[in-house]
Amino acid sequence: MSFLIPLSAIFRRDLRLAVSYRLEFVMRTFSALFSVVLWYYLSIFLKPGEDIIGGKDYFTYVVIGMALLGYINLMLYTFSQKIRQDQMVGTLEFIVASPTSPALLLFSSTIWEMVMESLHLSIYLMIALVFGAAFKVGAIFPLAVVFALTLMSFGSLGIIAASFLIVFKRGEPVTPFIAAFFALLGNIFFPAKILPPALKTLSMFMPLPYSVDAVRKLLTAGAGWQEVLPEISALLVFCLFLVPAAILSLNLSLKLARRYGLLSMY
Amino acid sequence: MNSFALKAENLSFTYPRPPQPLFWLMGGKARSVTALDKVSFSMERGEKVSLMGRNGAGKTTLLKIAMGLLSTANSGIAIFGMSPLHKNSRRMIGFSQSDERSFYFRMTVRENLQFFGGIWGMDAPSLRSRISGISEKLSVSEFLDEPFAQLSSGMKQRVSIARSLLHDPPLLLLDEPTRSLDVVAQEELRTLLGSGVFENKTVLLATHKFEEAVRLSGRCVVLNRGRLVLDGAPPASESALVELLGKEEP
Repeated sequence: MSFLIPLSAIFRRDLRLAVSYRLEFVMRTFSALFSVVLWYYLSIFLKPGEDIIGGKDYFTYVVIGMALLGYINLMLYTFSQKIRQDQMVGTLEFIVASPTSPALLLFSSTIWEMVMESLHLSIYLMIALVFGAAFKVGAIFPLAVVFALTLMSFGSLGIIAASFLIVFKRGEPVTPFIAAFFALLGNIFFPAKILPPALKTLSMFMPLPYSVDAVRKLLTAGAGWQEVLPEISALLVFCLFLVPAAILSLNLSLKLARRYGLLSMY
Repeated sequence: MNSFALKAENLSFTYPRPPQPLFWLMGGKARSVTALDKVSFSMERGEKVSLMGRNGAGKTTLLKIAMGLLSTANSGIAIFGMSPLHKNSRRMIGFSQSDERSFYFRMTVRENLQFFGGIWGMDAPSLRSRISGISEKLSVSEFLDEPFAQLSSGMKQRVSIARSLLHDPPLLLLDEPTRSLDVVAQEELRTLLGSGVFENKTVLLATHKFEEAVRLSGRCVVLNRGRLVLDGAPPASESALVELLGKEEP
């Protein structure tokens, strides 16, 4: 299939560039270890009321939230980072001038990062198991569906952020703000129900709480389709809005870039 | 079948000033700048044409429009009868520029060529044989496994030309390929341009260098402040070209 050729070319490029920066992999592995240890001792020190988090231990609760947050950040940042990299290296114009569609170019640029993030996630979860995280894995297929819908939702937001970067050149101040906002309202560290009513309501209009809740149910309560159906439905609705919005914003940003001569600027 | 490899007809391009509040957010140019003004010329298949003009004459803008990197409401340019934004027209164009900053410096020459060939849709076996064949012709074979960063400027320019030829495009757009090279490297590259590497290719060479333009072809397109001031045989001498470019009203 012809789309596999550019996809594998981009994967091999990212692999080669990553291999030329080996220290990064080592540092990320160590940071996974430190992160788990940090949350382990914080959960002992803080002892949050278990009724607030549905009778679960806080360590397992936060480890799952953090693991998912890694993927969320990946989807939010990767597209912009890759575009920025090619703007700085000077390869962006050549890549855009190729016959491969911009959407495929952008999608392909996440594959290597996904592989690496999955590898780090495995290390992260294994370390968490050693420290006593209590996982009770339920149905795998709903987990895959939740995961795919989560990546689609946040990948769309990442493409929208990248579209801003193409036109405005500096999208970085916006993306960390969004990421921090998601971390605050996304049921990562604490449930949104303890927030003031206005923020609690706001959190209902974000995909993250639904993803995190569903993953927690599937990984710690042994849940199946029935238990996560409301979250899957909510994520589907987000995808229905966000995916077309991402395609539109990417096309619009490229149109503006071609009109105003922005592709070679950074 | 369209006989023109490239046809520009009343091609105009103005770098527009973005509307407020987009202008404020983008921090763009304070005023709009006309880069091309009703430029018309065409190139037959296999023809070699030099594109000349002073800095800011509109040469690079013209090449970028042909590559689909810049667009206007009415494009005014066709590549083998197609819009430059059409996917198929992109397969017909090879592009090389003087800026060596368009490769991954941490990757080898071969890895760079494999990457660009891949996004142009070339499969591994044909890419392998193509890289081997082109690198032989351009004398870069022995540098294929060197990191791109370690090449001399002259060699980087050869690699850039190799990249433009990878997918065997019938039309080549070369943007000042000898700009940053020393005199020896310039001469080597000019010899290369005159050799059989570009046989059967349509070549549009943007250059500031009179001698280079004359050596490539008997036809010269000269732009001054975005306007076409000559399309035909090159001026008799460099001073005649200077006179031609100096004549244009500011």
